[in-house]
Amino acid sequence: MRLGKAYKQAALAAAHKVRAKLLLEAGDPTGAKHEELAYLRHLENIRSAERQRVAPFLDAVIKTKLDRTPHDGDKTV
Amino acid sequence: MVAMFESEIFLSEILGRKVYFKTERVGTLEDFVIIETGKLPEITHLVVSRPFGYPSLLLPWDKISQVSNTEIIADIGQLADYEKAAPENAILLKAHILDKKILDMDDHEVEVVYDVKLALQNGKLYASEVDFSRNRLLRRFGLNRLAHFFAEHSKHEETVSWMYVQPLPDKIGMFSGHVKLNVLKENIHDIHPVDLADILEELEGDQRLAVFNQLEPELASSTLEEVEPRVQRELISAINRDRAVQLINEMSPAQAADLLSILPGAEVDELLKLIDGESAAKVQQLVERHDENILLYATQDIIKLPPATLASQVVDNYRQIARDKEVIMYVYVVDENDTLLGVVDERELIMADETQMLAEIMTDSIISLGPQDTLQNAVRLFERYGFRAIPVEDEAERILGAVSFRSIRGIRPRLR
Repeated sequence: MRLGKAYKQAALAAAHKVRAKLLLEAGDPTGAKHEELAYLRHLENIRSAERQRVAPFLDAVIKTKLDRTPHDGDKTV
Repeated sequence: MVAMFESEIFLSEILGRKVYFKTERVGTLEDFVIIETGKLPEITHLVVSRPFGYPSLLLPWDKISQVSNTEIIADIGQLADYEKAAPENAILLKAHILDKKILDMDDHEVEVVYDVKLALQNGKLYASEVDFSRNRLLRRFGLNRLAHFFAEHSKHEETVSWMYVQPLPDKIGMFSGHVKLNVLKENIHDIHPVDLADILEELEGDQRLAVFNQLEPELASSTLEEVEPRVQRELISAINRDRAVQLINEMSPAQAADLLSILPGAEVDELLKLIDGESAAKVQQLVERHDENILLYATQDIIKLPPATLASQVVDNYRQIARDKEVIMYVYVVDENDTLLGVVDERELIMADETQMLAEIMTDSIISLGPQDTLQNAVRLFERYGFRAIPVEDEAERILGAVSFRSIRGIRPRLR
């Protein structure tokens, strides 16, 4: 399998992960659950051999998306 | 003030009429001299030919007192005062305009001026319309009934006001019998190279070269790629060496090699020494060895970006990102080892939302070429998929470059 497919699946997974977090914060646990399932589906599409390789990318994308999206994590005490 | 029985008349109908000085016949109307007035050109003189070796007369229009449908009467003093030829830079309607070709900017075909309509206004005679209809040609040959039939059944307007006609600039041929007229005073630089190529192919030697030399280098280079080999050869051999080199440097190595391959060997050697060093080696290899390995046609001036790049940032900074790149219609998504992960086209970039990254929107099922592939392989892929560029990658999926369709388009027929 091309490495590109792994990256794409990781990027799509990251997008779902971020939406799951935002929906949970918005008080929509059902929507969040669907997004979490989608996140997992995309992760499963990545071959195990490449999962390790794209893990840092996945984390970086999630962080970048969260940084660009206003959410409860922005609140300071 | 002239008395003219018809307020409008065609040039072909009035040429050949007898010219009289009072009751004495002095000659036959041979031609008209016109000057551009900014709107319609005005007839300033009549050229009257005389028999038995007498020198022709150049009669000012304001000396003409009457124009009937059979004769022209002039009111002049001594004939000898008018025994002169038209000035060298004069524009003559019959010699320079009639039966000459027009560049039709509207549909980019080359038409022939079959006649010119003359109109009388306030005592002055103007060339008002250019007629390139077959009907006029038929009438000139006396086939009036046939002309009438075609006129009734023709849907197309085949005359155009001289307001839209512009002789080519003075420095082109100076009306030495090779005038070409631009219909619709449009800048020649607005014509697509493919259409310009058609026009150049229709023109003859000097005129072709004169029009070609008017073109800016980039347009001239693109046009040169499109003309047929015979015309390419002629133009490259006719233009000065510096300009030839300038044009070749604007081309991709493939196009340059294609052009040089039709020239004599000595000329090729000379040009190869002068073109840019970077592409010269590639061009030389293409020309000398007829090498069709795809790497010779690929460019490394492509956009490569990491997968975590935001699509919106690419869009916002596209101008800087794409500057100096040869392939800009695709973004190639690569990792830190230049492994090709995916391809994004400009539509996908524009349609992406604020938070989407290249990795999310890229196409990861990539159609690519390998380093051992040939031009033939590339042509097949272009024909099948209609891409504008195809990446070249090695066995480890590292991107080596990309081949653009434009860089190989013109040379395709030679492969068949």
